[in-house]
Amino acid sequence: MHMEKAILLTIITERIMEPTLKELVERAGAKGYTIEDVASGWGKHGNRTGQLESDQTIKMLLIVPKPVAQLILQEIEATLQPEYAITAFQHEVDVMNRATASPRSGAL
Amino acid sequence: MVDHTLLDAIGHNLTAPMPLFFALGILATLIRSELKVPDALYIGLTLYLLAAIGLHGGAEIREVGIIAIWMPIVACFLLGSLIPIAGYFILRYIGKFSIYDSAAIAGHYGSVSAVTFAVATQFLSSLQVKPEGYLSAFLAILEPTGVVVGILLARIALQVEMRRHSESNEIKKTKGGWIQPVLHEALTGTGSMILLGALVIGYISGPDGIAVTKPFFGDLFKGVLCLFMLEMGLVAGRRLAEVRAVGAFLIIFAICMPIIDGTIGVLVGGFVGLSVGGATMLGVMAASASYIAAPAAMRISLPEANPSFYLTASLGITFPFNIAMGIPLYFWLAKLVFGS
Repeated sequence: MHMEKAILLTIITERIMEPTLKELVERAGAKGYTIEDVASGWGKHGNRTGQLESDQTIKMLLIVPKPVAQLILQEIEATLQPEYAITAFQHEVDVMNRATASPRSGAL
Repeated sequence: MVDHTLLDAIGHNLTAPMPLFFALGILATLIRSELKVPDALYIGLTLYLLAAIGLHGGAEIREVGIIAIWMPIVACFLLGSLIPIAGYFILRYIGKFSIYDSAAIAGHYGSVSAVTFAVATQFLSSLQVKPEGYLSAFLAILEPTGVVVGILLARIALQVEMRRHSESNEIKKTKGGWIQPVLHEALTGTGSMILLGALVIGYISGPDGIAVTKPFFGDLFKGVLCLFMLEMGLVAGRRLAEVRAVGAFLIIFAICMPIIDGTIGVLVGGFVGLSVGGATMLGVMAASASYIAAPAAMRISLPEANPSFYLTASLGITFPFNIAMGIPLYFWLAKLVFGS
């Protein structure tokens, strides 16, 4: 199995930021992402109960090369207003690369 | 029509199942009960209520014809624009709120609450009062108008401020987006989309279409509304904890503003020729504040405004006030002025 080093970027933000965020990461060069609904949360922006559209939260997961991750974080800092609740963090991860893997016949 | 004093009307209203389910929701939150309406059900109930309201309104417009109701439509549009303007100046210059907060709160009061509307129709029907059925179409006019006017107010006020302090670079350029994303959000959000869509479907399919959907959208309506009110009670109950934090001015505003707007709505309704029930409904629409479409649109367009101000005012104070006292008050007023 061929593994590759990449960055797992996790961005937690308000539901209403979803279109803006999607556009931002695509522009920065992300080739894909996963979005999850967050049940509820609490923090600097108060109690985000998840009951109304305006206080629902989402979590976006992306696996991207390091320069793309850097660009996304810079763009978030530079273009999104500080009033929006947004948290981003990254991990270095090993990702299975199926494109370069050579399937062995009879392995199963 | 039975003769009622104001107290009779309030008493009659408070013993109906919808306000009682709402009270149950608030009580459950206050005593930290585990009672919960699942999110998916809540969204489903919203769709159901708005679809039912829209279908009915659309069919009624077809019955009377759009030409016949142009006066109430213009009146409704004016109400939706003037209420947030008045609200803005009260909040900004008497309440000393920031431009953002004043505009965001004012926009909520210009917009409308479809659930308050639904509860009011049930209140009237329990008294055998029949308002004009096409009035639900006005929800679709008032909902986006208030929001857009609120946001425009903020933009204009910021321009004025900027010109006044043009030497300083204190005021940063807002990146939240201009009118187009706002209109898009106000018109294509779940609520507006289903309401507008159902209005058109109701109009096209007419009374025959209403007849085939009646077992689902007609007969079950009251029961569904009860469940919805339970959830609203749970949501509003959680807001009550924040009421003390928003300050006395906003609490007074959130009670007085619906009374003033409701009175104006009733009077305007009567003058453009609506029945007592219709004037009551226009009063209810003018008095109610949005808490579904408006908060999301405001969050997108005016992120600087503090959501806890507008949500607490509209959902924590004005909504319960209208449900308990406002609806019978506007009815009593409409009957007093236009009843004979």
